[in-house]
Amino acid sequence: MTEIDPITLAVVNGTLKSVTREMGITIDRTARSPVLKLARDYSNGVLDADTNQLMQGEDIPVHLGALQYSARSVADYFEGEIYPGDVMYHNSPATGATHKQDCCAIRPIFYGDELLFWVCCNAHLSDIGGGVAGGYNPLATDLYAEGLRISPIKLVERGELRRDVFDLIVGSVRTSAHTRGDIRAQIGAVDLAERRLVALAERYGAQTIRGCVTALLDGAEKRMRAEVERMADGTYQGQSWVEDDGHGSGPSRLDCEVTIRGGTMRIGMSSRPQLPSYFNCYYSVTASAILLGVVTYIDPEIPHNAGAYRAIEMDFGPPGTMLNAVEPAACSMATTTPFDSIVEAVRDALSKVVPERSVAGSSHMCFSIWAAQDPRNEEVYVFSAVPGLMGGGGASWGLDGWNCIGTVATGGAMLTGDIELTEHEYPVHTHFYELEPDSACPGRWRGGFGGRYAIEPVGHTTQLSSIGEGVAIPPPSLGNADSNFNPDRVYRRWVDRVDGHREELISHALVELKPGDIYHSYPPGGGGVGDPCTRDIELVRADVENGLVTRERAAEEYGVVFVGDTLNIDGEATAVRRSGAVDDGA
Amino acid sequence: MSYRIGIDVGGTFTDLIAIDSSGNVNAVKTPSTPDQPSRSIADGLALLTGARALDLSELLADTELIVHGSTAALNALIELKGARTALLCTAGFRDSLEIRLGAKERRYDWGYAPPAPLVPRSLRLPVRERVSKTGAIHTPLVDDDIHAAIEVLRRASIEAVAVCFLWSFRNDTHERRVGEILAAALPDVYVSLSVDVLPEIREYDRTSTTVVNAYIGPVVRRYVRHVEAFLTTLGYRGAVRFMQSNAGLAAADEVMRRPVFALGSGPAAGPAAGLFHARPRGRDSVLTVDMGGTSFDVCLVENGEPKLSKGVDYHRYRIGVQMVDIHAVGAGGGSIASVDVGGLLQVGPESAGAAPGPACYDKGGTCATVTDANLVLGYLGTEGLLGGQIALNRELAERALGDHVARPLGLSVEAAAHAVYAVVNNNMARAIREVSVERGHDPRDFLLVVGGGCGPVHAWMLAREIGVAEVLIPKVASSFCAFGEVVADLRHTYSRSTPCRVADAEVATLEALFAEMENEGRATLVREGVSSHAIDVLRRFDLRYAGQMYECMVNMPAAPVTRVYLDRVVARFHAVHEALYAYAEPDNPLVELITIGSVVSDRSKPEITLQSAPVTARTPRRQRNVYMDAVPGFVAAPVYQGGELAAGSRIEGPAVVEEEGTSIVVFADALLTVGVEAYELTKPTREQEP
Repeated sequence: MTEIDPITLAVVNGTLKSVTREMGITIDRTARSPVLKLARDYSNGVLDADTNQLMQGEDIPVHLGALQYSARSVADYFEGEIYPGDVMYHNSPATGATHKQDCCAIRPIFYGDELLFWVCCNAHLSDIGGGVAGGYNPLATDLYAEGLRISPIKLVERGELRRDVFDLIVGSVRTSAHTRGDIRAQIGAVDLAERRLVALAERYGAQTIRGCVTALLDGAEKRMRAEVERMADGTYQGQSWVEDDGHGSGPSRLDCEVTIRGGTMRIGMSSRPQLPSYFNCYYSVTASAILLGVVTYIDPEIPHNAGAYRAIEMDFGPPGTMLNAVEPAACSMATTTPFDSIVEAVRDALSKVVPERSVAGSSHMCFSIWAAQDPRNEEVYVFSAVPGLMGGGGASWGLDGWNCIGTVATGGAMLTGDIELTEHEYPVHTHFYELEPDSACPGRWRGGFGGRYAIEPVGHTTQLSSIGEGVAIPPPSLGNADSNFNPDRVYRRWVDRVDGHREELISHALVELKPGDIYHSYPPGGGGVGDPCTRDIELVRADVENGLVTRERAAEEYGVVFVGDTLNIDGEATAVRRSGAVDDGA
Repeated sequence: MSYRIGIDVGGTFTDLIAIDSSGNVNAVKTPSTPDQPSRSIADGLALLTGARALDLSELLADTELIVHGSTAALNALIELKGARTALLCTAGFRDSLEIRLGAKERRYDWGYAPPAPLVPRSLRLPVRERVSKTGAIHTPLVDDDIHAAIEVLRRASIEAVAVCFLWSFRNDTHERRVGEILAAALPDVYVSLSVDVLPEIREYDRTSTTVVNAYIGPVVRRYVRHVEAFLTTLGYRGAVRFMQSNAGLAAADEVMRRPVFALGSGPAAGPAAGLFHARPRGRDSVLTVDMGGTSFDVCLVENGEPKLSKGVDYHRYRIGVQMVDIHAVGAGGGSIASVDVGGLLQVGPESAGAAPGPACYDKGGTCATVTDANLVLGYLGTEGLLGGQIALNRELAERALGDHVARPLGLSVEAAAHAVYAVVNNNMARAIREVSVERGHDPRDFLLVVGGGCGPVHAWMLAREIGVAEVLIPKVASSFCAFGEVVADLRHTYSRSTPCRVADAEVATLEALFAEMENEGRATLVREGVSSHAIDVLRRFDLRYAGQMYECMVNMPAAPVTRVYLDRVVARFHAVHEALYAYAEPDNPLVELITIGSVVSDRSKPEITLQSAPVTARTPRRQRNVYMDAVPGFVAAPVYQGGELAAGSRIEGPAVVEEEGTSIVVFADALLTVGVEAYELTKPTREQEP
């Protein structure tokens, strides 16, 4: 390897970082469909010539480490036919995509005749055809019912947009106008990346760039191995649950076995045979869920690249099981279910190794997608009522969970959307959106709170598909905190019909909302960490003063008793209630 | 003789600039005294009178204008020392301040806490009312809720109240009524209505901005009154103006009414300072950069207008009003260099700050910083900066660089220092590219104006990195913002949301809204003493393709709104979109107009022609070994004192010129030309050689 001077290495690293950031800005600012611009369900990455992930933007966590699988399939498929100016497109789960809604624009970057990099812009489109608007088809038993499957294709060849291919895609989806804009935004993002990376190559030459790539991957590997080495050698078990899939699966258990030997961590997953429903994961989703679980427990500054991942050996279980599905398994929910549960299983195991980095579970994903014609302009809209799915985040050791940041898979990237912008854009009226008291699971550090959300369609009837899980099992807590003490921290959703009766909304179903019907969603808060009876009394008092924890739950769960209606603590009663508290040793 | 004085109170230093009517400039620097700001102002004025050989009453009697910039508002926000504030909001929407749209800035850091809400939930008081998106009253205002809220406010001894209701910018009846009731019931409480602060769509941005406005309002009001009263007690009778984050000045009344505009007070003066130096050279597109101790601020000015941005998270609090788009990165003299386990060198964003500061300050800092590297490379002398009080200890700098950079990388201390210098230059160059190239501008179309105490050390290398051949370094570089404040114009910005498709926009409605904003602006300027004939108006349109979540801002000259005018607005929007995002959809008929705005400013620019002080000598005082590059390494270079160089002098590199509070490094491939008010660094050409 050429000796790389530290200045060049720092410059190349900085440029790669700003390339992914800039690609993200392009998508944020120009995308049309809500799932892209609000859920910010996209990831950008730069890969080396061999499709090893070099840099991933700080985008949605669900694609962590997943881009290289799609890129690898595309590179293999087109081997010998890869030209400067090409942009490939791909969404097939069996060849490395996450689910069909996630369509990846992949562009080879040439310097002269030499392939130096690949860049990816993976974006969730608001519709991909199939049985149900939005692609999450609760009735699907295989992936053919989940919409258009895009095996590796060329969307742009040698700089020329292939109009036939482009029109085939946008013609296969319900939201053609938005999708047209979204795909243009993706092409814009990879084009920008190309300009920046070619300029970088012009400055340093191909050989130096290759040397930097090696150094960046090796450097990250070294850091990751050093971090793993600090963990005690041994084998650790973790487990988690996925709820019923709407096709009678009952709860599904996921098991995780973590083995640490020196600087290598081996993670093995096992799960039941794949299901005839949308709750399966093909390999790339399972891989990114495992990696997200792992990075919870390491220095957040370590770059998320293929070098760091060399220290992590993964086994997804036998082909044909839930976490290593094969065609024709349906998988449209994969990126949240079982994704969230995989992360929980990995965390459950690793919290036994590094308890001081424990992170409890967040609310799972359970939501509704609305689709109808907007009576104001006759255009089709697909609306995902995002605030209704943003439950609380899990607590971490030393810190309460964040309020309303949604699932682990999307945590922090997804936006609720501004109430006024949402009402401007869609024919809807919002009745309320605010934090729901007592929704957070208790703990020495409690979970974040979920919201309560009510909204109705204005002047039209809309089709609602109700999907996801999190309706039976609360988000798991860790370290002497117990989510099941009051097991009501699960999604509660219903429709108040215009005629006055209340209709509970079950998951995995399609229903109709008429004008005046009001949809309600109460997602749960996050899991807690540590015995709630060791929580700082002042923090409990503040939560009660702020109306976020009721006096009843303060006494019952935190062992803190107030005198009458005041904020004064009844010291004696509190001492009695707290006498059995378990110190988690912080 | 008359004077204009700029006083910029920063976190560490207070800078004062006096310009007299003949164009003579005096700049002084004194430590800030945050607990009692008037003390550092008094100290600075004493230094100024010393420099002018006047007594204070003479100086102030002859001063026609004092402009003040300060971190008072900013500090109240970041140190959470604002007023005890409450929020009245639409019932059912009590928590948007705390939900923050569900965003978490760091996705992979599970130890990262959300910012504290400026108003605790117990003081976010719901009021039953609802305006629908059309502006119709959906739920009438429930007066009982207001009276109940007032009881809570009384009991909690609230000092400030923000009021923000859903869709109030469409119909402000409810908000205004609540404002009246509050004013009558609680006359001493500072009240901010969202329709006065930011009548724009986006409930979260509007709420957050109004809350920030209320939260810092009483602090800013006290501060502004304190400064005015203090100057009055000193005998000053002239005008006092305050620097705003929209790049313009305002009188006290306006600042107290919309204190949110006082947030970015100091750095927002950069564009005015840059333009002042660029205009005599026939340029009005400028990139100003200001490198201080902890941060590097970049701002782009195109055709005389600084780039503005809105809806940014300012120290993690959302601010919706338009502010100068200052791109700040953690690169300054105090930025810390470190090497990770994987062998990657990083410089910043962590900073050693003013205390303990760089290792060479000998105040207990042991981290290797950019200033330590600059000292080892000979760009700074051990005697410290001219006018500075701090001697620099080279041995400590070498030890810090040795421990934290040289040894982990296997380099010599000198090579390590050079690596730190090069990496921080690249970080800064990237920041410049982010506001220029990445937003569709070619940096070569802009004049690069470099300020800040640390800027001139790095100026030439920045120019080389971004490919420009000419750099301007004002002689007042180390008090860049104070200077910008003195030469800035009075300026007020307004906005109104009127979301619709452009095709459906009603020309008369838009014209009426513009008239409303512009009349308010004109009236304010006239109150502030501007002639009604000397007022400039610029119009702003925020547009997007239907379905997008953000808008592009398009500036237009003020002209009656017609369909043809709107067509030109849309054409410009497509071009701006293309420049920003690498594509546009000129055939897409679904373009939405979300918000319009007006910028109203004073165009009666005072004629200021700077003079340079008389020159005594031009021989270098001494020589120093200065690092040029890996080859030839260190070379002996002459060190000049800026004050001793006559205008018109030319100095070929390698050389160092020390100025008040800063140091200019002239590399071997550069030529320094001394002007009256600034230095120019260029590539030497045959004709230019003396």
